Amino acid sequence: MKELIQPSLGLIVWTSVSFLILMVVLRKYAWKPILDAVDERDQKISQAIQAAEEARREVGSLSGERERLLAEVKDERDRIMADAAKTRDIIVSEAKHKATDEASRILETAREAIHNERMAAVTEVRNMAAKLAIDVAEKVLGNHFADQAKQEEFVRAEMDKIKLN
Amino acid sequence: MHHTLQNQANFFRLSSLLLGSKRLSLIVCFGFIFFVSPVLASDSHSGQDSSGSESEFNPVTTILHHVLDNHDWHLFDLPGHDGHDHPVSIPLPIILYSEGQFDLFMSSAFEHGHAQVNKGDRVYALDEHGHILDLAGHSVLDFSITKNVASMLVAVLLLLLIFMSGAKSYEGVHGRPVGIAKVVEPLVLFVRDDIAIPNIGHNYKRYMPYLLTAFFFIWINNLLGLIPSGANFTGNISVTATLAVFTLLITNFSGTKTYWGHIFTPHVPLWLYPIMIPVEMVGIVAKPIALMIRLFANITAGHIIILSLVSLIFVFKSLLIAPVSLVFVLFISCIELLVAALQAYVFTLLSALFIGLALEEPHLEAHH
Repeated sequence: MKELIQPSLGLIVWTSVSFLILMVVLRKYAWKPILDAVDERDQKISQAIQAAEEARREVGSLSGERERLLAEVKDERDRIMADAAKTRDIIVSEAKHKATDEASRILETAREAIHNERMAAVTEVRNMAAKLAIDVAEKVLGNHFADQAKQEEFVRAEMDKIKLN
Repeated sequence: MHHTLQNQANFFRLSSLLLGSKRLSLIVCFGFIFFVSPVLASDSHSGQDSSGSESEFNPVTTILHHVLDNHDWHLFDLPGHDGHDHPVSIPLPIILYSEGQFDLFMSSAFEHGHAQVNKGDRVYALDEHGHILDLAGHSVLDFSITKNVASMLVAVLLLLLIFMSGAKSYEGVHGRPVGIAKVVEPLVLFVRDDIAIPNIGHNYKRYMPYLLTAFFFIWINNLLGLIPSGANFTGNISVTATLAVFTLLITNFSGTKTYWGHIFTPHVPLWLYPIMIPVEMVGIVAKPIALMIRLFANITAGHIIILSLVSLIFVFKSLLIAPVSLVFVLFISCIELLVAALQAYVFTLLSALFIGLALEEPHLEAHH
């Protein structure tokens, strides 16, 4: 039974040598290629996942961008509309003002013209009446007033009594 | 014989105690009931030399013969014309070193221990244990290709074949496993992800060749040992000792300052140093010894159980016991298939654990 736990030199030497050679050979021709291939694949997979993640994030940011642009455009439109409305209001009110001013100016001019015309008409009427009165008086009083200077003084005195207005 | 049986019983009790394995203790008890008791009964009245006895079947000799190493690969016995059984075996090369010279011949030259071999002034013969002696009295170093060595070489060839063709199949397919790599890759990744990385950490890459080679070397040899008439390679103390020494060397050569600090300047009062330092130094050696005994005892125990169950047929000299034996052998063989992988895993796992401990960095120390 001691045999079971009795080491044997030959077996130790053969085992050591074979194991070491096996380890060196397998390291070069098996473990390294296999582990490298697996590592490379893992790397590729993680890269692909990262790229997919990035692409998804990009798509997300693109839709965000679109959303933002849309909102911007809406704002712009609203702003333009508001501006237009304001401009319209300004133009309308300006036009109203101008029209009112013009109207009042025309009215004023008209009033002035009327006044002037009336004044001219009154003067003319007065002059004409005076002349008529003189003519009539001349005819009536031809004889009475032989002296020209007496006559004119009399007429002027009479004229001043006449108030047209 | 009583004495040796007692030794055997003590040895296995001791080993099961050492290993703390319920499974092993169970197997040992089981083995005792079926294997030792009939032996004790038969042994008490036979009392003769077991090797020469044809009439009395001795399971201990038979089992030991199968469990131990041999110079030839015994296949079976054929009954000869003279009424004796003649062993049929594959002869293996004998390589001996004696007196500064190598002697090379085939094991068939010994004619199963009946003949001597003369080489110059050296006369080689087999003793009753199958060891080679020089009858002229010179000391002999035996480097023969024994049954175990031959079995190991078969395993090495298988490993080279499997893993090199596995690695080759990665070429030009963009790292996608095809063919045998589909089987090889999950196993390799198991060793990497479940043994190396959790125990060693980020420095695991340096140790992958050793861990992978050890795992598959032990596993394949365990499996080859389960083939009927196969060798008991991983159940040989020389083999497990060699593997354990590799782990010992790798562990201690990768030891960091912290690791050696724990051993030579442990965090205990100074007066405890004379106790602690020897204890720590025993710890260096105890770890690989545990590896050595665990693998050796588990595999050898498995072989002994199966052989004992088969021996029952011959002990009871009845074919009626054969179906019972067969069922038990089948059952234990299934367990042994599991144990073959399990022990390879345990050996590699503990090696990785010891390496991981030796690589301990100072920052871990701050936590305890």
